[in-house]
Amino acid sequence: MTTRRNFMLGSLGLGGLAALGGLAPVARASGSKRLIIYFAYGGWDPTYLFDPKPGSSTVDTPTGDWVTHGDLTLWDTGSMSATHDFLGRYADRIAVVNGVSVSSLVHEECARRLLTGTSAELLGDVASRVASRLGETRPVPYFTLGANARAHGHEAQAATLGWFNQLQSLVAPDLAWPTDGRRLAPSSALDDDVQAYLSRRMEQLGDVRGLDGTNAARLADYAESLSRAEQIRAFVPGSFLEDWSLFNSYDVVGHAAAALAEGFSQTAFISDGGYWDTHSGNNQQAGMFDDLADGLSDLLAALERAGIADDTVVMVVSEMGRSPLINALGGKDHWPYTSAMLIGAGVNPVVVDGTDDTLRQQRIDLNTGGASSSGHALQTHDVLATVTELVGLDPAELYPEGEVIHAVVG
Amino acid sequence: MHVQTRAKPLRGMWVVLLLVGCNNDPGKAPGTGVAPNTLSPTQHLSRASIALRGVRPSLDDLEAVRDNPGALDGLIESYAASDDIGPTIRHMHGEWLLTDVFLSFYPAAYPTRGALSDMDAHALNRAVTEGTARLAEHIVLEDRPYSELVTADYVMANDVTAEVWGLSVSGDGDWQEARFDDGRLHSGLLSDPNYFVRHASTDTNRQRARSAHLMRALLCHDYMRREVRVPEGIDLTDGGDNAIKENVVCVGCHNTLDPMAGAFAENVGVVFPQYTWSYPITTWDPGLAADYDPILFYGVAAHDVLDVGQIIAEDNRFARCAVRRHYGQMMAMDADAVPDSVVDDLLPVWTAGDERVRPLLAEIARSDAFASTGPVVVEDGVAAEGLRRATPWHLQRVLEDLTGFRWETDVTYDIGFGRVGEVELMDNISYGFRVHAGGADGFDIWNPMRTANPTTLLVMREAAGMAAKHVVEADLVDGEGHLLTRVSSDTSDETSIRTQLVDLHLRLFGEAVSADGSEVTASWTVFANELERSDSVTSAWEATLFAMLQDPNLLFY
Repeated sequence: MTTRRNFMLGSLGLGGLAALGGLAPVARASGSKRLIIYFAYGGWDPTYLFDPKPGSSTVDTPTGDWVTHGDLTLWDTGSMSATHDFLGRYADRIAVVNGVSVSSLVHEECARRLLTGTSAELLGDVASRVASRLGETRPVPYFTLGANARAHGHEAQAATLGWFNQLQSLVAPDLAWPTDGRRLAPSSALDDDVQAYLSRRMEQLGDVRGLDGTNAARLADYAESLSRAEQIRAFVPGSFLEDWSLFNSYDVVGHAAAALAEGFSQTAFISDGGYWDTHSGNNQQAGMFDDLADGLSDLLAALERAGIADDTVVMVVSEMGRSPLINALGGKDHWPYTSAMLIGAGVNPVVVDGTDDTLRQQRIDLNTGGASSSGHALQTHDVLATVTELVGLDPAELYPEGEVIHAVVG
Repeated sequence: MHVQTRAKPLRGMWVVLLLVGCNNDPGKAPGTGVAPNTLSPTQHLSRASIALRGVRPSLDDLEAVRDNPGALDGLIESYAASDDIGPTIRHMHGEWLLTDVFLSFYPAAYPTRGALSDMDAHALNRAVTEGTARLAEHIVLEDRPYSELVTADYVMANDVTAEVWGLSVSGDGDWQEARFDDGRLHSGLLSDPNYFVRHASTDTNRQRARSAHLMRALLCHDYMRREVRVPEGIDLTDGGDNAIKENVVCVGCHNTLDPMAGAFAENVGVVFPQYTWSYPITTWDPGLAADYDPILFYGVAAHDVLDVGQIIAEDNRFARCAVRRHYGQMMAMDADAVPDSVVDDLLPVWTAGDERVRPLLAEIARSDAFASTGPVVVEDGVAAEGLRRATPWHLQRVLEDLTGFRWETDVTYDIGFGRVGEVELMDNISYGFRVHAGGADGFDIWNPMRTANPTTLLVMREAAGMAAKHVVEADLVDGEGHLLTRVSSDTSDETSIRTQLVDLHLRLFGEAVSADGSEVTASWTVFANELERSDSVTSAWEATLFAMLQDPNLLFY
């Protein structure tokens, strides 16, 4: 049986290490779907876009009229034109899931639960787990472009771009930081010798240190990393990694779209760059949603241009919601229910009605998305199970406690 | 699986230690007489040197241990006793206290203004963010009780941070004890302005975040990691004011967390350094504490931050947490993963040493568990892993120490708060490759990576190429004697090259190997092939060191 680890180890001729494989089987990458997590850190106020509660007397909502785009209702605050444009164009591809319980009020803890489906510290997020199953033939199955991505357990399959696009400066010689150090430009023959040396030394290290427990896992990660580092270097010529205009920008959306379109990665994690934690001045959320909509519009347009929009699922999330009422500082505090927006491949445009009039969680019918007193109370692993279903993997394997929200799956 | 009685336990509690290992050939280090499942003495020394000082041992030290394994303990003692551990202490505390952060963004980005306008922004921000860890370094190097971390009647400052915080320093302006003269009380970390800027608390948070971070750092009591199941139907419509008093789920944490707040309430809640227009920055205002309740520290009444510091110092959890954190750092494992039995075992060492750090570090570094080649399983967890992964901080120091090469760039532009200036790339978060090489960033990533990833190997490759060229020229042309001490640019015979390679394997990896051993043959092959291709001894050494400086034995120690 081919496994991730013995596939990589075998490619390096490390039979001794490979014999210690035995990990879960992997699916093949051919024709498989891509996944992007688009993360808004700080806790958004769903009443601005996803869960507007028009006419509510128990929830402080934005002021103004509201307009609808498909099933979505949006406050017309006068300062959310980009959001209206975004919905006007893409509403028929968007599902919104309201009332997802994150069961905590601490940012880090909520983010962990939202992205991994559990409170376990060392578990990879959904994009890393999908990448390990669908993207093993990519140089970097999981490409992270912002904070809060979690590649635990899949470190050898992930790479990060860096705040100043350092990955490009690391691998593209023309983009390298200027330094007093003289670079060594090895011939291909020397590169081969060095690879052989490193592989031999890794074997010797395994011989001396033993291959039990974490030693085996860490050496396997080393072997896989060695192989992937070479794949990354081989990928550079003609790719986005040596694109000067991208290097000279903060365009994480452009980087992510290029990485997926060019086959560098199967999944990606983007941080929107905003800081949504509006304990004061909650009306700043309008501008943040507009910036988010701008970024999403750019992303979806880029995916369309690359011809992969129909194969890509985008999961847009924030780790918590905001409390129903405005506080003394004009802000809103933490709220343990959030919303998720799913866009793209296989997504049925629907709004899952997981909150009541007071913005508390209410149970829903998984098949229709409507409220149902005998239905299901949504947890983070339900959203992740649904995403897993959308990308064509078995939710029962990745998120056995999760329930697929069938209403969302077209 | 072997089950064996430990020859050199940390203390008596570990009667039987399960070393789940299968060292296939412990005789590989000639003449060392090592027991199965522990490193050879030279490798043990090498691991200890990295853990204590962040660099490999000198060739003289390694040869001394190779020739006389009995010299090992004494050398470890000397490392722990030297001031060379200072940078390690700073590094570990920067990581624990989450003060080693991005220098170009919030919570740093202090601008070059006023008397500091001629400084490079990077140097300015490094000084400010290092201040907190300098306190710990000072306490350790001065052999003072570690509890001074929360009781010291001073903060640490140099001429830069004195300007930033409004302190006075004397002499050459180097790091020294300093005191505010504005009436605030001094209680070590609890009075450190950099710490409170790093860990902000909004008006509605009311010092809870700071309290929680402090308890996590000092007592290993992590409120934020507690499993909280917010009950259905909880009423938070008032911002939670009622729930934290009456809801049983909330009260579980808030009844101890919230009453601490008064101790820290005089510190300004949120400071955005990048919006500083003149120094010193106001970070303290006694009026801010006016509407806080009297201080209760886990139920013990305290009058002020001095009382709180003293209570923490006397809290058994503080000692246990200090032991846990130092042990974790030495073993390259997360503090949370350190078994309680290990802490129990080491606590007498801590107490007997009057809470001084050096004896504890030496005790850990001498132990068999420290020298284990495989996982050390104890009754309540894993006390050590076999392969310890170097952080980018280690890699940078090791590379510079070995070769004299420092990977730097001069960032000439200004991103809004002054010309950035010289930046070391391997361990820098903002511009360099610390995160790519598996390091923590003190903000989003709290613990370093413990395994390999592709970009770490790419970073090592890039640095190794430049370091190899640098050291070959330095040694063969300028005769600086970093690594190539037994050869010249004319030496190409196999015997001489292998003799040099034996030294290199010892110096770089702590491997005591023979000239005809398989380890040397691996590196000799690189040398011989490149010599044949280029007909240049210099190129052959550059190629060989290019390979050796990427060796997995540098990443894992």
